[in-house]
Parts: sequence; C-alpha cells; structure tokens
Amino acid sequence: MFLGAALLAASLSVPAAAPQSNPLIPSKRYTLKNGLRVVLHEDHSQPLVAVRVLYEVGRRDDPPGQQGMTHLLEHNLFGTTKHLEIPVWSELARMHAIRANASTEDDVMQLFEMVPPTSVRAAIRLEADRMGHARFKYDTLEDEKRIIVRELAEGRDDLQSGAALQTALRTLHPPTHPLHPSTGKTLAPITLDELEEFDRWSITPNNAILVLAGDLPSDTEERIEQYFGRLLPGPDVPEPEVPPIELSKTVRKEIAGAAGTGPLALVVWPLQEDDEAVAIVTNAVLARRFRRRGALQPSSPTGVLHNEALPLNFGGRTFGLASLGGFRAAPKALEAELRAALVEVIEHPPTTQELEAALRRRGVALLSELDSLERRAEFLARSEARDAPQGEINPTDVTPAQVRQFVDVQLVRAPSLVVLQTPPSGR
Amino acid sequence: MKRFVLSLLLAASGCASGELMRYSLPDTETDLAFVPASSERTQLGNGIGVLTSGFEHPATTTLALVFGRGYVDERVPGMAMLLGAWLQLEADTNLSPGLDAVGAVVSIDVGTTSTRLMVTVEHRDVPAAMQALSQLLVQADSELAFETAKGHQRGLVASHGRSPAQLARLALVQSTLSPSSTVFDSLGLGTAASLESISFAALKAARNDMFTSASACWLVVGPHDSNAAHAWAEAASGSWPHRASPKVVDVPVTKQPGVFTFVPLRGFDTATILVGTSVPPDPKPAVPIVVGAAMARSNHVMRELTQKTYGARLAVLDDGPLSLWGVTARVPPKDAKDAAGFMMSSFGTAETVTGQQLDYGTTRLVAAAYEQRSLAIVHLLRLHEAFERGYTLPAGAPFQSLSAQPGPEQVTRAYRKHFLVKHLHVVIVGDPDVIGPQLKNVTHVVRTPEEILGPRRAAHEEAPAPTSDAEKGRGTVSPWEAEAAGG
Repeated sequence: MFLGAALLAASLSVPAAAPQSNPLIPSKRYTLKNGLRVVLHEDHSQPLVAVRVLYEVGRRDDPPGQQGMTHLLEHNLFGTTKHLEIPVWSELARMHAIRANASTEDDVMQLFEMVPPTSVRAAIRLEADRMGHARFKYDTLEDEKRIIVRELAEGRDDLQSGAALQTALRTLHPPTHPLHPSTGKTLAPITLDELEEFDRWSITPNNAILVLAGDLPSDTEERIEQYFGRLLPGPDVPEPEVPPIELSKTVRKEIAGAAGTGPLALVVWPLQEDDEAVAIVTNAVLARRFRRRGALQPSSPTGVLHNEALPLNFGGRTFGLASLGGFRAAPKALEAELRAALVEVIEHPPTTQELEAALRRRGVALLSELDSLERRAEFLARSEARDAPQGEINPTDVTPAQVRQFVDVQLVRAPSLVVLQTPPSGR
Repeated sequence: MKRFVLSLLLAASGCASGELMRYSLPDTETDLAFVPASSERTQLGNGIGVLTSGFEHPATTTLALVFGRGYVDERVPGMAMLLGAWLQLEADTNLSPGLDAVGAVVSIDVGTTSTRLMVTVEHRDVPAAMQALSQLLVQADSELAFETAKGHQRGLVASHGRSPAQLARLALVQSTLSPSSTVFDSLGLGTAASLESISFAALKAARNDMFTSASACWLVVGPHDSNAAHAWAEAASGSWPHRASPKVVDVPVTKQPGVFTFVPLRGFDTATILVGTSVPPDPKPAVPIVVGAAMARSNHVMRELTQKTYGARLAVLDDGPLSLWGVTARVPPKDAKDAAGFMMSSFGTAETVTGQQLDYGTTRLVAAAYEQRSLAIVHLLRLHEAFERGYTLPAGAPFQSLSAQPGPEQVTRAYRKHFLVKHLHVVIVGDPDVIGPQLKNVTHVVRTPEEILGPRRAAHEEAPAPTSDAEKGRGTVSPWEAEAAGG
C-alpha cells in the first residue's frame, strides 16, 4: 500500500477500545488523576509549540432555544480569569502567541495557539487557569452576544455559499434541534448564571484533551501537573442524544443570494453511520472526477466555476455536493449537472485503479499537512477524542461495487435537501 | 462542509487595553533561532536555477517551478492569470497522467512579478513530478481548456466586481498609485473585454515570452541534497533551450495624497472599510509592527468598546513593488462613517502606542514568518523570495531578536515616517442609501464598481532586449516551439 493510503487508513481507522498513535506523529499519552487526557509530541526542529485544548462540548450540547450557548462560552473564555486581570487575548499577545484562536463545532470546542518555547509555561498556566477559573461578566457576556451576531452577519456576507449553508442547516434541523443555527434571538435569553453553569460542567479536566506539540521544554510534564493537576474534575455528563436528520422526501429551497454571491446549487443527503467509509471514497472519487473532467465545459450553459464534493458531517452525518456557477447560470441547471455526475458513477463505475488514484490524492494531501505543528496537534486531539465506539473505518477496503451501490441507493434514489441560490438581479 | 461552517464560526483576533497583570513570562534564556534548512543554488546549462532546501519532512517533498514573470509583464490585462488558469485546467485533466499517477494536485499561483507551479508528492515521486511539470508546460495545447479557462476568468471578473473586499482593494490601489504604474491593475484578472480579445495563439505566444529558461527556477523542499535535485532538474528540463524573456519597464511607487473614496454597492448586511497607504518595500521590521499595533487599536475600539465589528483585520494587500498596508473591517452600514474615523485615528496617533499594542504588533511580525500551516510551504516561499529578491526576511532571523527588536521609539519613528495622515486612504464600500447621508459633510469621491473595474493602466514600454552574452543566452527557441518542431 502506498504511504498516502496507509496514512489515510491510519487516520480513519478507529478501534473501539482506544485510539492509536499514528506512527508518523509519535506521541506520549497519559491521563492525570483528575481525568485530563494529555498528549505530548516532541519535534525540536523549530522553536515553536502548538498548544491545543479540546473540550468535548459542542453545538449539539446547546440547550433547546438557546442555540449558540457553546459558541458564546468560547468567546467568553477570552475574558479574564481568577489569576489574570487582563483579558486572555492580551496575555496571548504578550506571550507572542500566533494563530491564537478557537473554534466551536458540532461535537467539540477547541482553544489553541502557537507559542515560542519560552512561553510554554505561561501557556500551560493560562489554559489551566481558564479551564478552572474563568471569570464571566455581565457586560462582556452582552458584548459578545452582539459580536457573535456581527460574526454571523460577516459569515453570511463572506461566503458565496454562506446563505445557502445557513438555509440548509436551518431546514435540516428544526428550531428545537441543538444544531439549528443560532441567531441573536437564541443568544439573547442566555443569562450569566446559565453560562457559568454551562462552563461548570463542560470546561473541566475530565472533559478535555490537552495537546502540546513541538519544541517542548524538558519540564513540560512537571508544569502540566503543577497547573492542571490541581484542578478538580467536573461531573460525568453523558453524551447528548442528537436527533438524526430525517428526510422522507426531497425538499427544495430557493433563496435569493446576497449581493456578491453567484448562482449555487447545494444538495445534501442524510447518511447512515455504516456509510461513512464508502462515503469518504465516493467523495474522493467525485472530487477527482470534478477536477479532471467536470471543469471542461466551455459550451455548458451553467459556466460552472467550481464543483465540490463536500466533506461529511455537515451539521450531522451527511453527504453533500455543491456547484458554483458563472453569473448567467441557472441554479437548476447546476443541480442537474451535479445529479448527472452521480448518474455517471452508476453508468461508469470507478475502476480499482481510479479508487486508488482518488485515495492517493487524498492521502498525499493529508501527508503534506503533517509538517504543520498546528495540524499535528489538531490531528492528535481529534484522534484522542474519537475513542467513542463507532466501528472500524477503512476506506482502502472499499470496492468499486460498493461505491456504485452507495451512489445508486443512498444518493440518486434517496431524498435530499436542495438549496438553489439565485444571485441578485442588480446592484 | 465543516470547513465552511468553521469559517463562519472561527473567532477573529482581538486585543484589549492594558491593566496590571499578575502573570509574568519566563525569562528568555536562549536566543532560539528559526533556522531554515540550508539552501543551495545550482544552475543548469540552459540557465534554469535549482534551489534546494534540505527540509526533513517525514513523507513528502514540496516542489515548484517558478518563473520570474507575473502580471506586471503581461501585454494584455488578464493574460497572465488566464495563462495560469489554462495551465491549471491542463494539469487537472488528462494531459498530466504523470501528475495524477503520483497523487499530485498542481497549484498555480500567478503573482505580481512571478508565476509558480507547486506540487507536493511523496519523496520517491519527486523525479516523476518534475518531469510531469516540465511536460505540462511543453505539451499544453488544448484549445478546449483555453476556452474553458477564459469562461472561468470571465466569471471571476464578474464575481470580483461584486465583492466589496476586492472593490475596496482596487479602489485603494488606484487612489494610491499612478495609472502609469505597472501594478495599477493589481487585480490582474483583466476585464471581460480584454479577456475576450485574447486569442489562443496570443496566449501561447505569451507563454513563450514569459516562461523561458532564463526566467525559470526549480524550488525543492525535502530531504534531498542539491546534487540529486540538480540531476532531477536536468532530466526534466535540461533540454529546454536557453531563452531570455522581455521585461516590462518598472514604474516606481510614489506616495499620493490621501483620498476618501465611497463605492456604492447594495445588498450587503455590512459595510466594508479599508484604511491604508503604500509603504516603500522596507526590509526593517517596524512597518508590520506599526500596522499590527494600528490593527490592535482599531480592534480594541470597534470590537471591545463599541461592538461595531467582529474584528478588524490586518490587510497586507500586496508586497513587492506595491507594498500596500492597511486595516480592514466590516461594520453595520449605519456605523460606517464613525468606524472609518476610528480606523483613521488608529493609524494617526502614533504617540499613544501602548505596550500591549506593541506586543500585538510584534506578534504579527512573528506570525508573518510562521502562519503558513505547512512549514514546507514556509520554506518554499523563502526559496521563492530568495529567487525573486535575492534575500529572505524575516524567517531567517532569530526568533527572540525578531520579537524583541523594535521598541516603542522605533515604532513611533516608523509611524511618523510611513503613516502620515495626509497619505492615508480610506475606502468605504456599501449601501448608498444608508452610508451616503453620513458622508454629506465629508470631502469624498464616489466611484462606482464599473468605474473602478474600468480603468486600465497606461501603456508602458518594454525593456530593451538583453545585450550581454549571458543575457542573450545560447538560443532563441523556446521548449514548446522546439517540441512542436519535433526538437
């Protein structure tokens, strides 16, 4: 097996009992008494350390009617702490932390930064402090609500597909669903007490994974014990039950895109858990086919600018295709082309060689990212978090017949959500 | 999809005012250096350079074929970008089975003064990838791909004409620079009309002019010694005949008085504001620190104090001969004028730089060296810089010196030297119904998107043909011409 496929297999193979270290990212893993999982990866080739804390709390944990709670908490973790009177942002700047940021996803929240080795101790102390002693203020809470609303507005304006994605998320998840997109309305009722309570059970050592990757000082483990070891564990909280996405028939939404957007067709199918490996391979095959053949359509009325087979887990377990067209394109024609690409897979199923080539592209892309400390830290954190039993996923075992069957049964003949975005008619 | 959703939700940078703190950083004991793997340069007999950086990646090598010609060298607006798009399509389709076989996806980047074709492959596939890249340039001949690429570029022109960020950038470039500057049309996409005027024959002629052995260099970043890289380069491109490219005369960047420009554009939830100026290329680190500090101040005022925005962003608009720096922010249209005022004042009050703003600024400088996700690409960009300019900054400098070097005095001096209020340009793009009335008492010019997209730089002369033996080289036939003739 070539190296790219080997890495791909290693990255996606998830034994039920415990995550494996990837041989290309050697790491030391251990757990503190309070339940904090620690992953250390040493690489002294550059004077930088990627620090990442992954909390197993995400949008799926948002209380009904208060969608955005986790995101709001993430923002408020950049305020002050018991031992730090200046905002975390300022302390990060003082540490010369670069790429300092945070993300809130469906199932996790991640806080991360990269620091020079001389700031590792300060970074450990800072992360321990905001894990155990974050301070929330009413004024900051309300400010951050407004800022998140601005952030969401920027997101809608930013992306060609922003409005379409929001529509899809809103349609796939009814208003009471935790993954229903947050708005100013869902953020408004969140009180300081509720935010503190949410922090109390979610931002705890036993709900977190700490990863340090890079030029680690020799006393790193000692400092981790010194600062994180003192924190008390939080309550054991079961994983929330997230209602599955259900579509009994194809749903179509037509929206007017914001100014600056082009015509777009987005098609999303809900998936079963068992489909994941085949879906990954199908995604790789379609991505390669789009790139190799789909682009050459000079006489096409759609003037396709970009086709994309979207990664999985779009607000749940889904498979998606998107097509962004030239400004004279009709969104319906873009959708028709996407569906034609699926029919082509049924009529001309991929050969074994095509599957290998598609996976190889994917594997090389993954491999090339491994020299980024930040990416390695993210990779290690996610591998550690994926220890929930979810079966073995090995895309290299997938056969052409399985891909054909998947496309036929799970996509072509299955109901989907279609969002067609028409650009504004004038400026 | 997660990538999109993440984009929506990732937090922006921010900074806040200074107060006493209990924390203190550990002392700096050693001056740890970011040491790019040593690079070596060799040259093939036909003039093609080979720059090798022995970076130890466990599995992959990143390599590029770079030409010292970009869109300032094109004769028809949009030609260089169209050439890049055409080659990209050629690479993606069946023309390059060699690249597909090694799982490589070519990424083509057409810049102001250079064009780069980059791939990442497993170590063992480097010779095959170099061969395939060379063949791509020689064998590309698809008119179908040309027509498709033209369609794509036309789509991009239309798309950029509706993009507030791009319009703001272009408006700033055009108010900052003289129309005779070679980088006046810095968008580089051209116009629908200029693209339409380009024939397939003209495109291939442009390829012959721009991509010659004398302007080419291989960049190899991986655990390979320079002898091996040289041998692979020789096998892949040693047969290219030597040929120099004509070069367009460069027009120096000069400071223009600041202009307040409003670009009416309806339909957006936000107004886009860009405040910036041109700064002559300066190898000293103070300029990015100044801009970093100004951004921190803008961010503080607009995010923390007024919640007018999710975050003000640093905007390094271009480098090389253009060297435009600025800060951009998106705000509710009703706040556009106030926000522009805050942003201008964040540049114009140098004497109040605080320690924290300075910290933020220096961090921006460090980030400039490291913020690429892939260290191999950082190394490759350093090699590219070395190829184009003969020096690299700032990643070669010791980390601690880099972050500790400039003090408030130096930053203040840089402010006073480079960021005079009279040279600051402001662009607001947004809804005229809401923003127009706010600007009633502000001296400003209104430029429509059509006007911004319309101007084309003044014609400029071609540089005299090379005269020295070294410049002339040994032949006059480009590899693709030789190929066509069966050579």
